[in-house]
Amino acid sequence: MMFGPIKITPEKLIEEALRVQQKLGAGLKSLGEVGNYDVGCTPKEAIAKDGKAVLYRFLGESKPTEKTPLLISYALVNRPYMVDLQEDRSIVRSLLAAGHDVYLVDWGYPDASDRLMDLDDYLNGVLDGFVDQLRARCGVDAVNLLGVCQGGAFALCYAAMHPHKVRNLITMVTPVDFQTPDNMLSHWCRDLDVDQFVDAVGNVPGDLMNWCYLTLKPYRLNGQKYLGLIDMLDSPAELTNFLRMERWIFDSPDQAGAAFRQFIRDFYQHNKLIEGGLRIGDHEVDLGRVTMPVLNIFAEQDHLVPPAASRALRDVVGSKDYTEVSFKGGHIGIYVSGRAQREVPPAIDQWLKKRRS
Amino acid sequence: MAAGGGDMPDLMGMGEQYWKAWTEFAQGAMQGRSIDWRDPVQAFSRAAGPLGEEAGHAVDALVEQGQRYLGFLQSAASRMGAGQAMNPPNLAELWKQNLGADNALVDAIRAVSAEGARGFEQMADELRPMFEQARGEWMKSLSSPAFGFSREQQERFQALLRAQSEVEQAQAAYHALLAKASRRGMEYFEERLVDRAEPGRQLESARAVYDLWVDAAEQAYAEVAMSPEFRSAYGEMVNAQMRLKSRMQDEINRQAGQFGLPTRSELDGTHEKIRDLRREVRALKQRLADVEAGRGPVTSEGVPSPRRSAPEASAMPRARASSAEPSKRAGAAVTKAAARPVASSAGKSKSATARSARRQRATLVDATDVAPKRAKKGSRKSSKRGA
Repeated sequence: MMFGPIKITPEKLIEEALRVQQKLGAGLKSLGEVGNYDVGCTPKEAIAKDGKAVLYRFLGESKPTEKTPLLISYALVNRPYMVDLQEDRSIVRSLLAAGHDVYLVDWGYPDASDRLMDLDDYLNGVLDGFVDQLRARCGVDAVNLLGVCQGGAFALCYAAMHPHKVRNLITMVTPVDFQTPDNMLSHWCRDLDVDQFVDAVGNVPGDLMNWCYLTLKPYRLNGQKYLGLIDMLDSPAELTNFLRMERWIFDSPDQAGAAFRQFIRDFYQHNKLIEGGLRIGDHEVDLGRVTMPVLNIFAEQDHLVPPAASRALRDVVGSKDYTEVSFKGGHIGIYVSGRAQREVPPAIDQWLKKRRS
Repeated sequence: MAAGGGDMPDLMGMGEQYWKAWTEFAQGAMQGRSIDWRDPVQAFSRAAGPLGEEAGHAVDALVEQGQRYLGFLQSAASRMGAGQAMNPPNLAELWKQNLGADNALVDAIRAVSAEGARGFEQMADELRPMFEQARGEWMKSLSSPAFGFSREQQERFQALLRAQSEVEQAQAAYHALLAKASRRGMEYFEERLVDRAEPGRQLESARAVYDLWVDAAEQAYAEVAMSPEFRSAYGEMVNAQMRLKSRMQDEINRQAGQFGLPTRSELDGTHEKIRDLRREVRALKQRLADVEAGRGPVTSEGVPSPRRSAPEASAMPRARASSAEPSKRAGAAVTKAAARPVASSAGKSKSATARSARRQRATLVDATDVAPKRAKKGSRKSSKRGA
């Protein structure tokens, strides 16, 4: 075609179809060569448990050189092995290599008997217990806390409620202002009768949470992504990585009903983390009390937690030592992309080491 | 292959067969014979055979998208071969025909629900058979004279029927907005095609056309999804469904109670008691630790103060967990190993607070094994292809 929106001849279309078919042909061979796509690559030991939650310590190849333990608080939604997905995509592995003593809270898979667990149980019960375990185990007054996504909001709340137990706070892709104009999830749940919802479903099914996330961009996440898979079909290694990500995406725990109710109502619907008035158990959550050094890392193309939702922290946090790192990527890429491996762990490592004295 | 379950097909052998078939097919295409360009994708799907969860879902989705894409390729090649101009309206129309649906967004969102993700419509579909089964009885009851107990029953049944009607209305309103986004997506697609109709900006592959459509469709969807109407419709769709579900649960509870079966409310009461007991145990353990440590309470500033809840943390055996994280779908358990209490491994503390904390934990720990991870919740639906 000389004019018009496309510059393609019928022969070029046939060539394009041939290329696709070639990839499909190679794909059959690749599918047979796909390796093990188990998730989580770094050895770890269980240190403590509380209900279904387990505190893990990651075991590096050499002993940690940093005395203050670094505790990762992941979100309740999805599984925490995203921070240690595979050998060349592991924030944990890089932090261990830099000498940090890395721990992780695995919240587990709540069942019907957990549906009354609320945020007080999670934060002032489970998380606080694990922090105390680490303080005792490592002989320190306070830990370094790294919160990811919803786990970052939890880390902020925890730091506000127990500031003396947190030496340095790192938040990654963490929502703080839950009502920025570009927050689609927030928009959708504003008219939700969350009490009625939780009363009816009990725990919120993980599959339903997945559906909500995937419908944020239905054409891209459920169509274009899989058409793009054709390009990877001749590479067993890429195919393996793709399937590992798929495993993570669809491995979503159910959400304890009471905690979900509180999170939707107080965070999304009333935006109390930033507006004030948030109470968790007997504690008032005032971000002004987060006075320890804070490193806030957000992703510029994050469709789940828009950058503005994270950046809002700088205006409300009490810390005078506040640092922001803007990552060129999305909500998932910040853990697993090649760029993330090059940029994120070193940023955390250097920031922490500057503050270890 | 890790994903495969059961007897795996001979993929290598099939690959060779597939490639041979494709070569013949391609030769046919070049010679202009009437064949369906989508056939190889279907052949790929058949040759891949039944696969495990992730691979099965990925291949299903790939096949669906691949057929759409190759179908478009063939249609475009055919029309161009016939000398038809591929101007923006023609291309947009061709793409629309290729989608095969008036409301592509409804299809796209339903497709999201196919595997490992279950949406509100699927939840409603699951309620429907139970509802329909009971509807006959309710209608019969509604036609009887209403006195006393019968009147209350009639009111409940009427409320149920109203709730179902509200669900249908709410879903229709939601779908109407999706249809609006679908239409707008096609409009944007055409506009974007017009933008590309100048030298230097032209699309040079059918794949680029597909990507342009995705961008346009997502833009339109995002605009509609962020509108106040959508927010309201989405909320009402969920709320209406939950009202119906709650009413049905009440009805089932009532009937279960009549037969002396345990009810949801009884279970709720039991769970509440467990939760309260668990919190009390935490608080008691904390108080005991405070007493044994001979210290006062700790405030949030680091000085002693009372605490509402104490951790119920138990020391774990030094088990080296498998480097392969068991997922809920794998249903594996964490490895057991010899017990070694946490307290014995605590390092030397230099601060009074840390010493105190260590003493406190030493009184709390007891060596237990890690609880096995939750058993597989229910494997993802079997592959559509394999079904």
